[in-house]
Amino acid sequence: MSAPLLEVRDLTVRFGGITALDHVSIDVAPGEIVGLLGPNGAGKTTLFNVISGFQKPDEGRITLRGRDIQHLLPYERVAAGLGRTFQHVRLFANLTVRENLLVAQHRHLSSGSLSAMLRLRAWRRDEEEALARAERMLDLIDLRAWEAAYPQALSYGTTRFLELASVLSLNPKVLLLDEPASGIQQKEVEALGPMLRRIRDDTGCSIVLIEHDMSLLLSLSDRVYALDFGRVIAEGSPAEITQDPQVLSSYLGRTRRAHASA
Amino acid sequence: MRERLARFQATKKGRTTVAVVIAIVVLLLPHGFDDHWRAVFVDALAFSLLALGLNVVVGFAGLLDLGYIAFFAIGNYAFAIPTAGSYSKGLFLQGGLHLPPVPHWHDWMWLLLLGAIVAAMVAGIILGAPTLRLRGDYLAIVTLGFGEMVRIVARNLDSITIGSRGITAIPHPQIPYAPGHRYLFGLAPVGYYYVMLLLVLLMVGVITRVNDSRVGRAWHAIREDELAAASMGVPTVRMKLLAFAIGASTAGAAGMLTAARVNYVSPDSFTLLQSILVLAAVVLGGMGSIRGSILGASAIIIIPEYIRSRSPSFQDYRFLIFGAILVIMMIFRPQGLIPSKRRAIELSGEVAMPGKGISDGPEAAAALGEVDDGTP
Repeated sequence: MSAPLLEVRDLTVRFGGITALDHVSIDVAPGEIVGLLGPNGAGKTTLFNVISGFQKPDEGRITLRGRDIQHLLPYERVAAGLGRTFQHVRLFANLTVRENLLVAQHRHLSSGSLSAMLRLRAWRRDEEEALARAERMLDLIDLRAWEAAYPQALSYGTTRFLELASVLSLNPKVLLLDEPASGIQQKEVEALGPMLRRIRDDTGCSIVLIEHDMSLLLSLSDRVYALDFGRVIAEGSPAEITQDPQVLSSYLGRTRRAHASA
Repeated sequence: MRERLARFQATKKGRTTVAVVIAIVVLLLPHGFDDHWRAVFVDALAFSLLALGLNVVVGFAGLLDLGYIAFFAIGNYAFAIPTAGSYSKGLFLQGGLHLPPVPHWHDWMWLLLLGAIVAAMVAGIILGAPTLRLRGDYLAIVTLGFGEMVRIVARNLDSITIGSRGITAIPHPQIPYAPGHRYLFGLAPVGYYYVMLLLVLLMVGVITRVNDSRVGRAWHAIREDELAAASMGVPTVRMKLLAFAIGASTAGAAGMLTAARVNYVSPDSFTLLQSILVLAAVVLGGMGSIRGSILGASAIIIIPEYIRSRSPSFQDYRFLIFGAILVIMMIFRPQGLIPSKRRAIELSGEVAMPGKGISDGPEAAAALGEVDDGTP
């Protein structure tokens, strides 16, 4: 394996008496799709929050492309090459699809308020560039039909795709996707897998995926980490992980029981 | 009839006609009234400037600032302190700032205007830099405290601000327009009216343009969901600071001109009520709406004065009536007199679809709570 792009070492987060993450270490190689598996409350989303800078860890270290990003603010981590989506879609409800994508172009632009005030060429160039980038994304993620619509008019699945388009606009090197398939239609789930793979192939970014849809997660991931009670309990290829006794008892077993009783 | 008017306004020709009519009315306004009303109009313009600035902070960036009048105060004092001494030796006897009497401070009006703008902006940044990491209610409390602080400092810093007696004898500005000739503003409000009008127009231009750039989009994103804005790569603190600085400097400009016109500054004119009135102007006009801010501010100055002048016996009740108008207004037209397009959508009631959890479902809120305090 080549040198890891994202390296998480001994990350520990405590909420009062509860240890949400307990010395979690994770590596993500360039262009790799890594799955995170684990029951609710295992600490997956907390891990994302720490990596993206919304939650301070009590211990541990995070490096991205060999650079310590521990002390960077969330938006600085975006500039460093990190992009994330949320478990519950967070879009700007009062902006149209196109405008949502325009907001995401912020870091690619350079003109400030002064050039906007004076309508300098830098401002015009920036506006044109932002629009062009947004347009490209509309086509890439197939949102053209919705460009003037507000998020509330979209199906939940489409808002997921819009969020994906927004975060892709950031040109991330590592994409953290928090349950991208939750709450969306089966048809859209089936479209999601190939799309994520295409994104990885086209942009060369790595993807870290939290997903409860097991078939999607296992078919997509190159490698899987299984978490439970804030600890990494197993790591390996999808095939290995589904055979791991600890994973079977803590997660897969539980799901099977739940299915049986349903 | 109304429909026909609305349709006419929607055409390009219609818009131009409306703009020209408004421009003529505004330009000729001082000539149809006596000095008393002219002074009221100047106040309305100064208040419009304040509302425009606060609209950037509250309406665009969504930051509740309850101490906004402090920046107006700083603008006032930034002009009054250096100039008052040169005008009247009396101030020195009272223990004013011991600057050597510079005879022609009032020639340098534009420079002093710039000085007031910069002073207010610096104050805005000093207040904003440590506090803009706070969210919503906390920021409101801090700004409220700042507003009171500035007033109380002005009240007690006797050696510089002459405390609660205030600084008197601030010179009226003069503008040299030809060698040997200068325009003396004096006491008459007309000159101030046009300078203030110019500033309002300038500010409208500046704000409209900044809002129509990546900065404006960033403000909007921050107002809706700061966390999402940050995860979209928007430097949230810097953008909020920029909104604060623009708002503060606008208030500073309004303050300088007001001090020059009334040639008296007293800490008692910078109370919390004033901050709230500016906020009321923004809300009344329509948050996030530039035209609305001007209309709201003008209404807040002119309506009570109108009530007072029509029935002097009624004047003790004028704020009661005005308050009632505000309440009724907020019930029947919460989006303001001239709603911004965006806010109209927000308030149309179609946004709240909790099932979809787009912005603020209960679970999203819970997720926020979990990560809230961790923002470094």
